[in-house]
Amino acid sequence: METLILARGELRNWRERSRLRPHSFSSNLMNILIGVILMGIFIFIFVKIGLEVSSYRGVIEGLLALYLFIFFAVCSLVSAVQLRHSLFESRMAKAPFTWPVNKAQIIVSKSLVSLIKTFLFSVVLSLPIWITYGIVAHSPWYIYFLAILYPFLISVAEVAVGFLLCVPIQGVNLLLRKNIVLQIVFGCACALILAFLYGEVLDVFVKVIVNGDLNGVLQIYELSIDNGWGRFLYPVAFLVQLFTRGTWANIGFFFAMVLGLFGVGSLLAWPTYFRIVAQGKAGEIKVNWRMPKSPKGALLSKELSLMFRGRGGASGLVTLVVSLPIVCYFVVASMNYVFSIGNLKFVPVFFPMFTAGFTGMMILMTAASVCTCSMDTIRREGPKLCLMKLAPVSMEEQLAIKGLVPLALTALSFACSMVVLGVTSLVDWTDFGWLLAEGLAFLVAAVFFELIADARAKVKGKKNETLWESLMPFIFPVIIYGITIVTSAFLPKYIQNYSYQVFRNINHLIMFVIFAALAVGAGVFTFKRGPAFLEAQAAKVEE
Amino acid sequence: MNKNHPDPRLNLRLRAAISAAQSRVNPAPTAETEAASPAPVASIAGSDLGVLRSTYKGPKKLLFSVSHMNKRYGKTVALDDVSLEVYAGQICALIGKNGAGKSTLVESALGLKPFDAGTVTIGGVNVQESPRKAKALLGYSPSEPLAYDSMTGAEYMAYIAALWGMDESVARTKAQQLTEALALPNAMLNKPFALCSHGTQQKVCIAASILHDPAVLILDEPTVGLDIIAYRGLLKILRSYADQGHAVLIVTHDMELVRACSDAIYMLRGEKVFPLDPNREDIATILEETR
Repeated sequence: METLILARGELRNWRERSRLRPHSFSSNLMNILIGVILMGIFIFIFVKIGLEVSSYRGVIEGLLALYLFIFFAVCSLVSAVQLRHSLFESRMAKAPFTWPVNKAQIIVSKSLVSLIKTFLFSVVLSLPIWITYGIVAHSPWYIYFLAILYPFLISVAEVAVGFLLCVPIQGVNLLLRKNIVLQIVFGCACALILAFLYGEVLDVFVKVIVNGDLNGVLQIYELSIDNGWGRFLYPVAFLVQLFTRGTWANIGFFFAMVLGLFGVGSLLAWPTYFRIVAQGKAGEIKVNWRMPKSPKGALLSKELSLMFRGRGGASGLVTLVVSLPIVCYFVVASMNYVFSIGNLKFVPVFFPMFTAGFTGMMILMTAASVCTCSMDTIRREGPKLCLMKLAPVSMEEQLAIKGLVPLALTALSFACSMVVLGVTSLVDWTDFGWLLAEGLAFLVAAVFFELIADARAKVKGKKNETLWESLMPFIFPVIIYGITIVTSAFLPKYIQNYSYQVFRNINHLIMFVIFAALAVGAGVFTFKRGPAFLEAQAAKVEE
Repeated sequence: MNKNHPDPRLNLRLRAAISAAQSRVNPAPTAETEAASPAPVASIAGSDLGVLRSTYKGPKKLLFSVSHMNKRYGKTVALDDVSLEVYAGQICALIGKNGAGKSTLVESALGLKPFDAGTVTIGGVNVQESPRKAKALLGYSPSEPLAYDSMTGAEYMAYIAALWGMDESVARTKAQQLTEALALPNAMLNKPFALCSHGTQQKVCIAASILHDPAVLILDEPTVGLDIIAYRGLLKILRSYADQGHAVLIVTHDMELVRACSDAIYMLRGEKVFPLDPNREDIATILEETR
């Protein structure tokens, strides 16, 4: 009974924590939309490949095993992260020791809660794939019932892996927290891995869409669950073989594997949990005293602290800064590929500025996403902006430094995007020069605009900017480059050689002037009106 | 000098105390007045904290003044023609019931809230005319401990020291002295501010407000959440700080603190501020009435 009460308390705590997170309706909608689109893409690729390979024995089951294995890995990682929080991070981690319950009850209740959470994730991820498999492979009716059984079984394995991984993850987490350089290195590594994984998926997607070129995709025919490498995707392969081939002996292997993982994981996790909860700190501790050299240095160090030690830490932002140029490269390369073959290759012929415009739009949109993610420094200030107002430094200077750090990060991401696209010859040198100038002007404008939006959100006491304010840095490049692409269609074809260069330069010049005007306007507004606006609005909020 | 008249709503004992205070020419105690009159708050018995008397011998210099301040919230009058003065070497207590407007008065004076009329000077610098110069002379710890959540206590203190242009070795030594006096262990100084207890946060904020050696130190409810060791440490810090020629204004409900170290007392009541005479024997009773 006590075990159930403990588990219910944990679940309630988890639900309340989820509620406390600042989620606006629009961000929830966006998250659901992104999830549905991702799942749609997964199912689309599955169906497309599945229909092609359905005549080959065991390949579609191998593909199913691959999909389920990817979800198994994701759910195991989520389970490990949640267990780490529950055992080592949560304010409630120590609480059960003050209650009249024994260690076994704590262990059972925490395991039960972890199992429930992981089961929910597994249901959402695996059921659509099983149903799709059932339809594509024309499976018998009972496969749909077995599909319901699958999340129950696999979530046990996922929690077992979660137990195994939660202690190393906690170790890495403690290590990262202490060292910002390690955080940045870790962020870079994650960014590179994610970006290249994304590139691989995009590559598969483009090949499947454009010409159904499946032979080159992952060597799909060797994926068979019967005699290919699909049968080694443990423990998922056991269950896939069991459900699709009826090999009941596999259930024994599955449980043996899961129990083994559970045993090792528990031996690692629980003693660490009980030791950490019980232990105290002792010994001489030195104060980490590092003083900035000047007031400006102090403000800069404060901004870095607010940005890198706030929500998500340094690794989140570094991941974004490093991965976006690579993502930008893959998207531009894929679009160039898509629009260079088949019927779509006529699009750049009708719209001569299409390639340059689309590339510019992509670069600025990726840079804008770094900008919007890093521009919440005013909201991260304490309540009432008291500390900013008491500092013996002018508000203009403080605002300038507030804009400087996000500008540097955004410019770094932008410069990386430009270098990647330039080196890979996706933009020629004329476009390169113009895009660099346009991009820098746009970034300055975007940073000023976001600074104002951030100040508005702060003085209104909101945790997030409005949807309109968040979208503005993305809308501008779309509108301006969109107009440029469309107007280039009216260029008479007979002047395409020499005069096209002139036309292109004039177009770029116009875009540069627009972005520069936006930057100057936003800058003047920020420094002329910003400080007074911030102080007056903040005073109103206080009253 | 304060121009306010006793409010007829106040009781007789309180009016007598106010009249006595208004009749005094020097708000700051000097060697002569100390010799002639009983020691400030020395007559108040019952405090085991002891009484820390001023040893300041320097010139009488006005360091913090609020003149004829008016503040309204819509139609509600919060502060009506309020004036107060704090001199070098003086620890001044601002007392009053909850909601009397003590924090409003201080926050308005520091430019954190707008006010309708009046003048505020810090170290002779007009706050409205030269806010940056004035802020450079100020140390302030608000009633709710306030620092950047992601910074550790040590980082916040280093940030404040750098912002006020202190020399690193001086700042480090001063920070060490302050944290020792306030019983702030090193482990707590390495912890992010958000993860510290209220008492630790309070200690960090008090230490940071004094660290850069401001001419005027304003502490709003400084003793809330402090343990007894830190409390005694704070008393000693404040006394020695004032004796070095600085001005200290404490906004508080803590009458033990007022009895133990204040050289002047202002009471905010009915939107007006009244000086009380800390030398009167019945001051303890009056102070109790403001709880």
